Amino acid sequence: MKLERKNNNLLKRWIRFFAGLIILVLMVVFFGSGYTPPGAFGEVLRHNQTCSIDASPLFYSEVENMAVLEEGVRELIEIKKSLKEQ
Amino acid sequence: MERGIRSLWKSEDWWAVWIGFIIIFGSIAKIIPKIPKVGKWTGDPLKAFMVIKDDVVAGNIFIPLLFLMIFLAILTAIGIAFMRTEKIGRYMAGFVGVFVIAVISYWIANQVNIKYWGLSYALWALLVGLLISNTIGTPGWLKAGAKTELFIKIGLVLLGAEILFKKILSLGPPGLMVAWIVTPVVVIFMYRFGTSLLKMKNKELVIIIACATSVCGVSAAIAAAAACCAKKEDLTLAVGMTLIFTVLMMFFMPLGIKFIGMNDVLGAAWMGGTIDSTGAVVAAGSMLGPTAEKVAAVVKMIQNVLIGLLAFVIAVYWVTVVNREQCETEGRPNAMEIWYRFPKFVIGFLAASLLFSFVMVPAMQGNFNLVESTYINSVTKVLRGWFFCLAFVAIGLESNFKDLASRMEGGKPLSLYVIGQSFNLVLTLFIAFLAFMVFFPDAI
Repeated sequence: MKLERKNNNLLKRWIRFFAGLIILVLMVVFFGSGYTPPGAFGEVLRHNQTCSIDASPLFYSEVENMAVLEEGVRELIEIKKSLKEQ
Repeated sequence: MERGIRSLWKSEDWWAVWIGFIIIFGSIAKIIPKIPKVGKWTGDPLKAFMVIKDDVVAGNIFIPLLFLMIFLAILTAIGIAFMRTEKIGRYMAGFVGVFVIAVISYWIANQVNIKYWGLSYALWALLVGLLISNTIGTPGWLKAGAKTELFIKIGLVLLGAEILFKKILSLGPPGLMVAWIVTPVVVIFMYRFGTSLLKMKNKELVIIIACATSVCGVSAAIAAAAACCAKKEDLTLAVGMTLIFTVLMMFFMPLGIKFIGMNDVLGAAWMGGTIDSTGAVVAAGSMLGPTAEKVAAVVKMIQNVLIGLLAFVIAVYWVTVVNREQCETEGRPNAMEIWYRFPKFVIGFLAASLLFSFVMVPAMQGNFNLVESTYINSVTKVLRGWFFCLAFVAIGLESNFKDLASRMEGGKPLSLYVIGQSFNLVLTLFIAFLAFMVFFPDAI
């Protein structure tokens, strides 16, 4: 009786695990499919796809083109300064 | 708690500092070679493990990943052997399991379309860990390798190397105004609001949510959690919320800004100061144009630099005020007691930042890019990512939904996030307007 209950519990756990795994796989398939929501909601995603923008970095140093962006700001400041002097 | 000289080789905090600095000096001395990382892929999952040069497969990273796993297992096992917190054989076996899950998490996160959504490795590592712990249960041998605090602390010491103080001047006074005036105000507001008005008992959760909302999402949450010795479930909850709201803000803020016809630079500064993670800021900024993309990213970068200072202040506040309130019977702690309780890894975190900001950068004639490309990008940054990923796997493996639900306190953390973020949005817009439109209109 005890062994049967233990086996049932174990079976339930594994069923829960596989159900969770299926949900996780479905999430990966959905987000990885390249689907974008229609209308305004998907506009940023479509822009990211078109311009190959990685939106996942957590910290500034993880952004691949951070040095280029920083340099861009420096250039913008310089341009403004020179315009002001003129 | 280990005290006195023994703590130098018996405490986890000090081991995080030693291991972090072994890696940092190994990187400076060029002893540690380039660290492998899982690559991007679109349709072919195996591409993530291939080395591609000039569009041709030049090899794979399976062997380098194996060496990395062995290197990290040995490095951390030395600390564990001294601390005697686990049997080494058991730890090594568990570490292999945790590392494999970390590789799977990186592999999922590096799918190109998933990257466009802004779903980082932290989310996948947490989900895979939570899936195991809440269904079949985390086996004992795997738990032995899940050393969350140690991984987080080593990761934070390494993160210190990426925080270069002089970067705060990149955008001049207006950038500083948006990033450095608003952020502390929002942190204090949210902390007071959460503890006094919402009457949240879990002060650690309040400060983690406050830092995640006002500084830089997940990274700030990790730093704050470690500085105040929060529970893993607090970090899981805060990270979960910040990841969801970051995606929503990335979707809707640029659309709103475009809709009302706000000035691009003002909109960029607003998004840079409010959207939690840098990747989402860059994506949202890019929607407004190239100038906005640059301004938004740099504002966020300036804000990111605050993370070290914030971790230090939180650590000091916790050992001097919060811990004292919690142990009223013990009386006021003296200076030695404060020092004993102080999370020492914060010292390593700040020391790494100071070393790179004021020694390495000047040694390279002030060339940030050279320091980053020579020492940070190929070693410390990649290893920091691995340690954070391992930490999130470990958190997932040790968390359960019941504990998470019990921390919701009737939805108070969610209310705190929503109200705090709303305050952040209003204040950042106001200060950004003053900075970029009134005081320094010709800055950009």
